[in-house]
Amino acid sequence: MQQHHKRPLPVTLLILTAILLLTSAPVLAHGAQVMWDFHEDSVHISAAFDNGVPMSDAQVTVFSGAAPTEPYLRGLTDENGVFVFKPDLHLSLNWDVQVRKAGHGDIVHFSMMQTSEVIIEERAFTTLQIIIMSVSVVWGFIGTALFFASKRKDKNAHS
Amino acid sequence: MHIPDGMLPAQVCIAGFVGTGFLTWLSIKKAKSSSEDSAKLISRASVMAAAFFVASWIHIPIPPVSVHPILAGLMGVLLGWISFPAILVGLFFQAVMFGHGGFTTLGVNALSIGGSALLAMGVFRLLKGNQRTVKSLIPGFVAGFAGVFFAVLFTGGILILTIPEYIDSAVEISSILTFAIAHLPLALIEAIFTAYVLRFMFKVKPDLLIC
Repeated sequence: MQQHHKRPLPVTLLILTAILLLTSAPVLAHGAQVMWDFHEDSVHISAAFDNGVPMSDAQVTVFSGAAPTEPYLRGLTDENGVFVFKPDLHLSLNWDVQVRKAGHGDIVHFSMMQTSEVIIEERAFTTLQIIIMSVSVVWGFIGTALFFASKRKDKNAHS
Repeated sequence: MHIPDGMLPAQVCIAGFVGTGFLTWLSIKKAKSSSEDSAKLISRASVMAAAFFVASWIHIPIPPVSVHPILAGLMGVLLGWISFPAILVGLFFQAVMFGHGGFTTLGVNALSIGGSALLAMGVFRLLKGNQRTVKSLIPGFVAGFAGVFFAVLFTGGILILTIPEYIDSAVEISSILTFAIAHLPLALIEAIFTAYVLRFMFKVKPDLLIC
């Protein structure tokens, strides 16, 4: 007689999570990623939602280290989510740039003596890392559920 | 609609944490005083927190934006008062692991989504009345819709009320309204989903429902 093995719920949930992440990892949540880079004497700000869609027409506000609460410059990103400006190096070497659209966005802090690559590497996760992190968190939740469910079973068995 | 770090003034973030602290305390107190077994409640809340955490990865493109399920209505109806701490934990992990939302705005985001779950729970209980079973899809539909509606209303309202002076408020309000309107189809999807999930659960496992 053929025996059917029922897959336990936690395993099913983990498999579903992995499938979901594998299919959706390149188009992540609608947070924002703001990156910057130097081109000669100008700074290129590049903003995108974390699904890769450029954050076009987002409001950009530039603050210099000399007056961190007063905007040095304001503008909008273009259709590619890019904003270019020339900072006044006599004013300050430290700059903050806020990119904002409908409450989404980010603030980047940089010094004109820094290299932008450091910032970019720190922010990026690979697909595999994202999958492992998500599965770990989901497993943590399910582990908690199983722990309390087993406690309940023990309690019922004793009573 | 998660608000990231850097978008809200410090006073609002602090007020968000105070409100979240109060609602967490109240939720746990209410859950403890209910007749539900606490071990059963925690295990159910953990599984739903996992679902909430994962749901933020599902993207529904509604041009010019994309939205993701919020599940506030379903969480509120299935978990009752304990939905608030479950959502708080889910939001914390979303912020820690992927920067979805933020740490300074965790309180405000919890009030928005967790508070909406509690409101959806209230709406569901009001429509259901004293009935032990719900044959109609309407209470679940309205609760599912309310979960998204209240979350969008709260988040959009907070964002509009706290637009900094240096931002062009007309442009920002227009963008916020676009995002809010884009959540309308999501609210309908969640409403239908919640209604059918609840009807299914009333049929096969009615004891799992707290409301």
